[in-house]
Amino acid sequence: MHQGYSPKVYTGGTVVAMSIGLTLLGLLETGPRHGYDLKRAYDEHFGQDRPLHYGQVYSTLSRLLRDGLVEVDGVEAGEGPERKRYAITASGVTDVRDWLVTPERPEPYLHSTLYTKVVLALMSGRSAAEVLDVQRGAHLETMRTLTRRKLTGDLADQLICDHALFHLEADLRWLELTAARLDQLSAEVRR
Amino acid sequence: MSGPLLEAMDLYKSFGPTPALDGAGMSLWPGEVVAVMGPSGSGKSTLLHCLAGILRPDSGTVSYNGTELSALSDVARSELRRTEFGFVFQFGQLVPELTSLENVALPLRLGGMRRREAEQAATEWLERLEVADVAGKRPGETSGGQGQRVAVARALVTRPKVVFADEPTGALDSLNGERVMRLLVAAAKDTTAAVVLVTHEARVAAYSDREVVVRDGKSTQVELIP
Amino acid sequence: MTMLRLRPRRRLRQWWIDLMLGIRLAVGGGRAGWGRLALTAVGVGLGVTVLLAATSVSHMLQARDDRGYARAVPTSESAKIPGVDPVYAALRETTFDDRDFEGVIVQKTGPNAPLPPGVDRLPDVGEVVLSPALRQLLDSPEGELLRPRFPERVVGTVDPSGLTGPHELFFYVGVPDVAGSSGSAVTYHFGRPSQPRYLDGLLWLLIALGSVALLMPVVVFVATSTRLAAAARDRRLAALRLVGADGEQVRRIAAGEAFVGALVGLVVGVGLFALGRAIVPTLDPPALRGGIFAADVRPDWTLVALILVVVPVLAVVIAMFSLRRVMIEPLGVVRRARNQRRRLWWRLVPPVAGVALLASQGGRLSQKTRKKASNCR
Ligand SMILES: Nc1ncnc2c1ncn2[C@@H]1O[C@H](COP(=O)(O)OP(=O)(O)OP(=O)(O)O)[C@@H](O)[C@H]1O
Ligand SMILES: [Mg+2]
Repeated sequence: MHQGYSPKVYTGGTVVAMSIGLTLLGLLETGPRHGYDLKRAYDEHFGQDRPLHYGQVYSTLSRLLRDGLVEVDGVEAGEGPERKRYAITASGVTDVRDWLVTPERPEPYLHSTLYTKVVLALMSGRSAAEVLDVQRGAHLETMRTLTRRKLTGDLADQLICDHALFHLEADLRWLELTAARLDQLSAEVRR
Repeated sequence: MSGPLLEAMDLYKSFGPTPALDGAGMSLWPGEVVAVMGPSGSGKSTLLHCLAGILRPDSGTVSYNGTELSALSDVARSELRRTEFGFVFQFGQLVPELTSLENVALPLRLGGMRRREAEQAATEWLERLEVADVAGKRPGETSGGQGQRVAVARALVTRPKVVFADEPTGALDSLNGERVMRLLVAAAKDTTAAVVLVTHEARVAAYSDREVVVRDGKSTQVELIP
Repeated sequence: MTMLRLRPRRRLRQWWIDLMLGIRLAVGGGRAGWGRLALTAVGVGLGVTVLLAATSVSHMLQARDDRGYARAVPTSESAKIPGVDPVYAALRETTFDDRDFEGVIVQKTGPNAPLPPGVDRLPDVGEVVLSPALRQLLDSPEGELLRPRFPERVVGTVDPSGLTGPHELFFYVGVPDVAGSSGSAVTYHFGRPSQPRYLDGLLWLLIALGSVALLMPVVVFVATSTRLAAAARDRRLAALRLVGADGEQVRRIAAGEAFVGALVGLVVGVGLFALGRAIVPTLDPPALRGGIFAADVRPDWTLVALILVVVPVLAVVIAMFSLRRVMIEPLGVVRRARNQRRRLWWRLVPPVAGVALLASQGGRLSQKTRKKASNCR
């Protein structure tokens, strides 16, 4: 199943790769930290499903260092990058602020796999309703799992699950609407 | 128990020329939460009312614990509603003249329980549903969310075997809806009551164990649990 | 199937609980509930007041008549009573400033004169006994011009037992030459035997028509408020059905509700009637000259008892009967009997009955009118 329509997409980590750097910058804004501390803080707040690897942390930090967004604040005795303390620079702070106030692009998913599947099913005379029903079942099952997890989890868990649930619900609405319009759609496809 | 608690088969029901139910059916096993979903006007509420013996289908059977509901007298069906079933609707099921406490105690009183005992049980349920503070208020004086939680308390106060909930969160915002659902499902599981949950909200349906989809008066059971 | 078997109910307690629940629904149901109860109570109360007043009319008229007869000057030669000094007496009527006066001129023949009711001492020549209203009038500035007509010394007042009403202007005056004046008679006692009211049938008809005229708006009022409350009641009873009240229970609950309304209505009615009774003596209606004593306004107790029993019973029966035709479903679906057409004949009943009653009494009415006319001449 394509990533775009797997229910997993909403639960698999709350921070996508490209914003890890900015997230680390944000964490550094509260004060200088060692790389190890940074990873711990990240995992505690954002890494519920996918903790960061050390390698990921250090490669990101070196990129930030290169771009002048962080600087080395101090080095403790010994070897290796884990001895360095990092602090955020003025341009780093600017970047974080810009990032926070820039809206995320609302993803329209216009050409989703599922839409393609439905149209193909209609064109080939297969049951498009079944395609939708199966997807619907899968969505609802995921929602059940999330709901169960929400009921036992703490507040952070609840909020993350709710985020995923609302998105899945939106998908389900689309599924229902499409199901209700299949006749119309099939007429257009066959034209 | 060997069979389902409640079983409906081949239900037909029409109001005027167009059928509301066109061969629908479903079964309910003890203690499970079943969501009934489907588009508006597909016959979800009609199915629920037939299951609860409030509406009599034109044809088809509904049996509770093996007893055909349509064979029961009005008195027996009333008794069933009072002792074995509980109801939570979107709104309007509370008696507007009575306080929350009196509303919750009502089914017990109708069953002949003494006032003191009935109100004590009602108080416990109001506490459990986190609405003890509105015990003395009438439905018109409470918020929608509080009212629904009072309704849930009343539905469960007789420790019924089945709770029928028709869009219980339909008039509530997400936060209050979630709260009602959380409390309803938790209380139902605690008392091993089965729940028939009619809803068109997927997030609400996600509280169920499985779902029944109704379309144009016909139903499809997803995952029949043996 | 043990679950479906009905447990042996403690019937009596259940009945009690249901009735109390009905009563609870009628009282303390928030502002709307109280408003409904107040409407019902005022409606029923007004009806009860009218009925109580109607049953009082007969007694009130009879009491006035009786006292009128009791002080009347006998027309025929009265039999001699040993030890009584007969009195020459004649009735006099006059008007002043649009007001009617009535009185008796008397001339005693000895110390043992007979006494009319309400009078301690029959006046001698140059003396007068006045009714309280007349006395008050003479003392007031209004009576300025009247005073010369009553130059005699006032020796007493007529108390209520000698008057038909509190505002009656009545006097007994001692005059030298009654024996020679017109209409005079010599008598050993005052009073003529009281006659039962001749026109009882007609009177009752008038009372009935008057009551109906007064009751009509009341009935319309009650009907309207009932219809307004019907939707709320159906919703309420449907909610009760949903939680498992069976048909019988709903009926008992509705009965309890109606009973409270009727009961409060009775209290309101009795209260309004008592209020009216207190106000009556201050009125001076032209139709009943001299006004009405509160003591005369006394309902017929058997009818009162009937009203007190019938009104609540009727309210309960109507409440239960109206539920018989409107079956309340647990969902608030109200299934009405197919016969939605309103029956015309119901509405024809009052006018037809009225015409019939009038026709039955019409002959007597004209007879009496003729008779009265000839009396006057
Ligand atoms: N009492 C009634 N009288 C007439 N028609 C009715 C009645 N109840 C339901 N219907 C009709 O039966 C059909 C099914 O109604 P029902 O209330 O079961 O739908 P639903 O699935 O609950 O819809 P919704 O999600 O809007 O509540 C509809 O077409 C409706 O108009
Ligand atoms: Mg519905």
